[in-house]
Amino acid sequence: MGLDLKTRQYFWFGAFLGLTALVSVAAYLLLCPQWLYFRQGEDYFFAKEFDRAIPVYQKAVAAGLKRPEALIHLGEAYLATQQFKKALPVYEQIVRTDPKNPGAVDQLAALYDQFGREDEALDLLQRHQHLMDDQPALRLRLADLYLRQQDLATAEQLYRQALQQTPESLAVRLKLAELLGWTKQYDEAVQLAREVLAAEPDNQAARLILARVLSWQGRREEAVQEYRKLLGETP
Amino acid sequence: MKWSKGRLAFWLAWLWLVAAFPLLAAAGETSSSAKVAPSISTAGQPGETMADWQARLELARLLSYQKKYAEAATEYEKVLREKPDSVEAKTELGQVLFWSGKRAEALEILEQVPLEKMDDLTRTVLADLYRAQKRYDRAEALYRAYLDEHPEEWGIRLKLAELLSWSKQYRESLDQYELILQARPDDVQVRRKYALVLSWAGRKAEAIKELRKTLGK
Repeated sequence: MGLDLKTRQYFWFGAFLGLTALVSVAAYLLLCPQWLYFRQGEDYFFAKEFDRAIPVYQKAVAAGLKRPEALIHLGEAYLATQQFKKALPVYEQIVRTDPKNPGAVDQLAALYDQFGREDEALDLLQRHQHLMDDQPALRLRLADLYLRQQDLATAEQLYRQALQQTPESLAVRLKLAELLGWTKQYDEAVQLAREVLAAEPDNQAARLILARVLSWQGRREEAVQEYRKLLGETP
Repeated sequence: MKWSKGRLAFWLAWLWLVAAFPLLAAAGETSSSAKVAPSISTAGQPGETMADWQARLELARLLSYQKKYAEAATEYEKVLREKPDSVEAKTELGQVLFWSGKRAEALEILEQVPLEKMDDLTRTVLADLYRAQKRYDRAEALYRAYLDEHPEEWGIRLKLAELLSWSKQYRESLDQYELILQARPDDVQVRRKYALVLSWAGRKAEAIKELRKTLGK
């Protein structure tokens, strides 16, 4: 038994309304300038034509496009073309609009650091410490900043946390080894450096740290051996 | 033509959809949390490697601390083959050659370094080398410059006093000895040298008096 006339009418009216909604959205996306620019920018971006992507993304953003990818890809395009000064305000805007974006926070901190704005980088990372569990790089960057500000105790604490978070990370192990050498915790520093060398015997940075720490510790003969290995001069 | 309620409602809904859906699409633009690529800036990257010559310089220093001067000199020379203008390598090699008794070679190396780039220790080494070669005027200038910065370095002041006496500048030499003895009146060896210079200066009565002091009389 088929549907009655009224039901069929309602069905077709509903379908017409639904189709209208879809068509209006499609028309918006296809014809609205900011979307046109954005799509063009995306095409250039993924083809790695960053110089061409930048002005198009700028137009999209200026036309009012709020899509996060537009700003992020604009920022990345600036970075890819080494325009770090122009990238900075873009990342500031990204972090303002999406403060829970750990990658953006990390990149902004990196840019602040690059321009000698260490205090702002430090402040930014301190305000976003809650993101560090998702983005270990943030914790590492904060530790590096404390280290450069000679706050070795805090830097050590953060490196240790980073090592707990990523125990397989040789880079963190090495940074901690170097810091422990400076703070005269020689035995642990030597152990960490040797752990890195056990995993990567050709790791020059690790061997250099090991040589230095051994010399600071007064183990000069061993230090000389490590320097000679570093220089490829052991028999 | 009068529209029915149903028709009116239909067309209002249609108009709403035409206008609202694009706006809803626009509102959705901000809601996606797009990922940011890993940071490109490499500030503070761990594991920075060092050039071979820098590692070799550290090795050379370590060998010099161990008093293995010949090995240290070999390493400094290797550094200088790669970095012939390295002031650090030249000054440290000069010191090592000096400590191992190779004075002529030490002087040859240190004379290649501009004075203003030398640290205090190296300047005193150079002064000692000039003194040993009897180039007293150059040695005197270096000792005096050093003492201007470090007036209570009595060992250096003694070297200056001795040098002045050897070049027959007795008055100036005696002034230096008197400064040392004011600070270190019980230094018997200095007092005896002071007495010797007094006698060279023809002040024999004073010389005798000073020598008697050193014998406890």
